[in-house]
Amino acid sequence: METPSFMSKQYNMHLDFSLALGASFTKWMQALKEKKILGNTCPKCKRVFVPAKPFCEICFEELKDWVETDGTGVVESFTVTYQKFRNCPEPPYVVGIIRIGNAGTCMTHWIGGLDYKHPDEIPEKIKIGMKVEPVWKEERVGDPLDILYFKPVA
Amino acid sequence: MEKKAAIIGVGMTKFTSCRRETRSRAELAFAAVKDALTSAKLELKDIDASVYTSVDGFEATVRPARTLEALGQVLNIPLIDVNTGGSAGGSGIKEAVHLIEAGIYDIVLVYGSPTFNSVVDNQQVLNTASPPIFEKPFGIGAVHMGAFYLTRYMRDYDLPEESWADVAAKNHRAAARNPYAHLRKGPTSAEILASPMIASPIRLLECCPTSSGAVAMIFASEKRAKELCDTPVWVRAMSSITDTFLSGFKSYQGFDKLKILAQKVMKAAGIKNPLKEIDVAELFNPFAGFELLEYEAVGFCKEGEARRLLDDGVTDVGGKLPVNMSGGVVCTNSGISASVIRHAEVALQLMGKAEGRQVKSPSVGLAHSWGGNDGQFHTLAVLTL
Ligand SMILES: [Zn+2]
Repeated sequence: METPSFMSKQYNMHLDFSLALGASFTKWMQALKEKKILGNTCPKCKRVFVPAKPFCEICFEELKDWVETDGTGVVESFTVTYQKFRNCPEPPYVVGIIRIGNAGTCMTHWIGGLDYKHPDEIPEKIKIGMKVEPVWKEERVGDPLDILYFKPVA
Repeated sequence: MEKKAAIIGVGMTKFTSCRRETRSRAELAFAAVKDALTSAKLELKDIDASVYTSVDGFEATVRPARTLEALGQVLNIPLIDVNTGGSAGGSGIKEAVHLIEAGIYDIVLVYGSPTFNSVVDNQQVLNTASPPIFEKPFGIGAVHMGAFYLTRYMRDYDLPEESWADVAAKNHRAAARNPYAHLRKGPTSAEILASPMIASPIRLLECCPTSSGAVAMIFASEKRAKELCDTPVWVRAMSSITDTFLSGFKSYQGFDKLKILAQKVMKAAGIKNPLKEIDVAELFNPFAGFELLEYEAVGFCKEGEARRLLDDGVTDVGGKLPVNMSGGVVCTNSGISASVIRHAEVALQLMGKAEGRQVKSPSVGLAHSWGGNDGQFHTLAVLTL
């Protein structure tokens, strides 16, 4: 029998994780059930955080004041994925960096409601600064995925 | 700075694909460290401390330093594990430099491990870099994060897609001259533009491969450096900067944190005009297009003018400031060792030992590393003869 010049051995680990969200993320997630996208405001610099945060990273102040946005936002940047990655959506899909209302920060979410028949042309259909609005799921559980995607405002 | 630190030895293995790798992690480490010690005319027993640069997750363990026990255990010396994602190499080097500048040690070894060797589907781990609840579910990995920066830059400055391919081609041509590089076929801009789109605007041949290989560097105090080395490379200034973890909290208008870091480091190094005063640079570009944003952030040109620098050949072979003559990260990405390599390559250039990729007698070099979730960390070093 021939002796191989090198070998490799395969192993795996399946790990599950659970994360306490804390008060501000919990409140933000719960509001999604009511089709509301909340933000919280820094008492010092007045920046609005969407998604909400426990404290302002610049001023190091607790964020106690809440605002309800109208849910619309603008696209600050995006990418269209053409390659299939394991445990990721079927391509093509669009992920946007979306600024909700006058928030000082952005959230990542899908941009949908586009014509996908010519995948090569998708990037040209999206403009920086384009206005988008959320399309909600029928059944919501309090999770960013309660929003199916953001679609261009007609 | 009262005390100075110098690079006196560089050791590197040749790089290949992770899938074709037959060397074990221990064999790679042994080869790189042996090579570094030989080039510094030292033996293992001469090392006062070791810095192991690593990143968690890719080996299903957060103690990857286990692959190089000898550096601590045999010598009864500290083994310092530094992890700031992809920039861990730069961060580890910074720690070594600080330890020497503080006068604590005379000889410090920095080891850059290969990162992607054991995980079967590397993207699965890269996708864990993003925040798990708020961002990961949307299917964002490293390439998508890079794409957010490049999409915005293209739109803000009307950059044609060809420019990304041109900067990729410049790196691929350079890698073909570097005997250590992984991808050495040197595709043209047209071939790069014909490669599949992965995440717009990034095409396959503008993305780094997953490479295997290792690098080690020896740092020394001023006294020991002068005793041991004819061409010590001095660390004139070095620092790092930190950004938010969340991808959504970044502005995507250039590398703003790198810009702040560069202003600090250039000031500390006494450099007023980087383009004029720097002779060679290695900028971290796992996606080829990053290089253009980095020209602007480190002050080689004004915002929106990177394309002109590239088109005029300023950063190519024979230009005023050749950048990524190693072929860059886009042609060889062995994970953490890639951020050590940026410094190793600049050191080899200044020592005049860069073989097929040598720039004509440089005396000031710049080395950059980028890492963590979506450019959460940058390091920058000015190295001089
Ligand atoms: Zn504030």
